[in-house]
Amino acid sequence: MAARMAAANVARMSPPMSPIEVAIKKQDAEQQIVFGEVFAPGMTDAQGDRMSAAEIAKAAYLFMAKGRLAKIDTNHDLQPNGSYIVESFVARDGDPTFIAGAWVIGVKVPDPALWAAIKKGELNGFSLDGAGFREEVTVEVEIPEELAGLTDRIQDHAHQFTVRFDPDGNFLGGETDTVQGHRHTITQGTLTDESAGHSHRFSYVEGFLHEA
Amino acid sequence: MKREVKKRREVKANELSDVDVRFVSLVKRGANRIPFRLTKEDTSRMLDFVKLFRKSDEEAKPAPSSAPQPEAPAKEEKDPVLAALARLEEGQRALAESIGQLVAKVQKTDAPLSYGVSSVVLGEANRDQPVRLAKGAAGIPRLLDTGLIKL
Repeated sequence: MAARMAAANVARMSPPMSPIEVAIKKQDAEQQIVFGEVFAPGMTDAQGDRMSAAEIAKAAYLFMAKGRLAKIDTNHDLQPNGSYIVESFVARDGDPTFIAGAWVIGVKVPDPALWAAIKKGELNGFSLDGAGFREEVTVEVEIPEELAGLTDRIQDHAHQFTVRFDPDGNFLGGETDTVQGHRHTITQGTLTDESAGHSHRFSYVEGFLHEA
Repeated sequence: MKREVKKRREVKANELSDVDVRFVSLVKRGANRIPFRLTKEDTSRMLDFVKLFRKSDEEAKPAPSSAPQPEAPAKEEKDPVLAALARLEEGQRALAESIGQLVAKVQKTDAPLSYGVSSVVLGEANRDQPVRLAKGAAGIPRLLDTGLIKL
């Protein structure tokens, strides 16, 4: 299969994180709905797993067919936490926010403590828990030496971030630029390290997207 | 996003198929490394599912009776939305059991490697003798995870 870099895809998703943030006057005035991808095609995840767009759609539809709208837990404790899915879709080509082909859900989080954890950056993404078949495959990958993008906005500012990878694709971490007198180191994905009392969410996965 | 391609490599990966997602978890860092994209504030123009379900439950409530009523689970009393969803799931359990073949457990939390894919070569697949995979933050397998029993 010819290796093709989805340059258009990367460009479409740039900047990697463009959250729609709104002025929040008080917490109880929020809808308390969070949106994000559960799984995206065209990339291998941190556990070496990948899924085609067709398989992702199939899993998403099956989940909904089973009516598992309230099967939302916290840190894989398998205990429903009172949250439930209010939207579920597979992102289409050209989606300005989500990765095309990804399973996207919107989750209502009524629990004030959970919502506070999301706002504080203690909970930052979705993670699936399930069963399925795994087949070992050999994939040809293009490993970037360095990726750069923009973090989300927290406390009225965002940072430019840079992350690096070794030749085997191992994430080496990175850092942000200095804004408002502080910068953040990056030692893991999804969330920068804390500095000045806060962290920023960020995404570099768009830089890895390929059409398989 | 600035992207500097260093070189292509062939690496081993796992192709997932027929995935039966039983839970979606809110986590600090997911294996997909994709953060929440946006949150929403209140607006009266959007459909309020809480009110919707609450209204449906009230409409469906039977007339008061002197006969003793079965005790409803405490959870249903507290949250009519979850109660409605539980009833929906119960009604569709047969469909679920007819589709799912529980083979491998997958919990997608963060781990060291991450890379993009430009081509795939399938390896040997043996769907008769699957290997069980228990992955997750705790890393402790649970009986339910084996798929040998179903709730």
